Amino acid sequence: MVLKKINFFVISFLSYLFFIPLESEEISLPDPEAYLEVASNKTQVPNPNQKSFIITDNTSFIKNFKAGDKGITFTAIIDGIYLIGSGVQVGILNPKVSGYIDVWFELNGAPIPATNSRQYISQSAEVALMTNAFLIELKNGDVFSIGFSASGPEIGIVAFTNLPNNEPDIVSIGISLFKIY
Amino acid sequence: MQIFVLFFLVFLNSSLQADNQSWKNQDAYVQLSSVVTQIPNLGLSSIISGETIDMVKNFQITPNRDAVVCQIPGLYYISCGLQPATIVRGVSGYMDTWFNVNGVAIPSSNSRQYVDENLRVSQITNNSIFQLNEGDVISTGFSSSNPYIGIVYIQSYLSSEPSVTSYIFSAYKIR
Repeated sequence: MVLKKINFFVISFLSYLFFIPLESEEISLPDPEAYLEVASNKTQVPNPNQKSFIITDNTSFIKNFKAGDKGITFTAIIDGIYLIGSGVQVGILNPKVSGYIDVWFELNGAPIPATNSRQYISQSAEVALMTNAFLIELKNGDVFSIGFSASGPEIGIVAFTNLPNNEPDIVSIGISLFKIY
Repeated sequence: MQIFVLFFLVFLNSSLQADNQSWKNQDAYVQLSSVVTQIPNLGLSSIISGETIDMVKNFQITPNRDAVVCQIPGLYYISCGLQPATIVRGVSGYMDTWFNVNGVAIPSSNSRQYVDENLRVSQITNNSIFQLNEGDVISTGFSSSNPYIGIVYIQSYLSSEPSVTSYIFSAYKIR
């Protein structure tokens, strides 16, 4: 009787071990990863006479994205839904100036609706931080870039370098994106 | 015979368990935005509407588009971006914004931004991570210190630049 009981538990345990991993393996099939993080430590001012794009000069991470030659465009390689987060340090280059800056995203040369943000700056707030987070569907070959414009010629995105006490540079723009699905 | 019955029961049990866990693998995301200037009711907590549905999967959106309803339980990343602004000149004050789950304001999710004559349009971005259950209703609350402070939509007349939306809300299931 005792042996039968032991037999019962051993068989139950073994069958459980046998079936569960099969189901779990099916669930945990890995998805191809894709991510990108770029930044710039240069102050940039948009051209008032033509559409301007933000230039990045510093790549922290890149996988399954292709960066364009000038650090302006990025090409997706894997289809999916992506989360994009960006931080832009807007500022005035002349303390007597006030106005605003707009920053938006473009996909294949066309502005993406609902991605434009505006921030005012003035003598009382010479520098401000503008952050964005949104979801976007990208397909293989889609090219995206970041457009910006300002209400005046001495308003742009600003970087601060050589800061004291080992403080890291304040970059003018930082963008991170990764594939969520 | 007993062994076969036992095997069958265990197999059935493991299959059922796998079915019960299948939601873990399902995608869920939503993004709403607004091209409407919105002003909160003074002294009352108000909810922001996002009348444009940019993308949605495994979320329901309420008929007046001021909340989303979770359909797949899980851990979620939620963010919103607002353009607080003074609607008329000469006004100054602040705007607050926070997240609600099932009508209850979530602690630590509130942010404040001042706007004034020199800083007529500003921006707030909020990010949080929430554990959500099926049927949980998520919305964005806002309030302001002045009846002429709200979130603004700014139409762009340039074909090369999109309009500035007053509000964008995004959520997706992390796991």
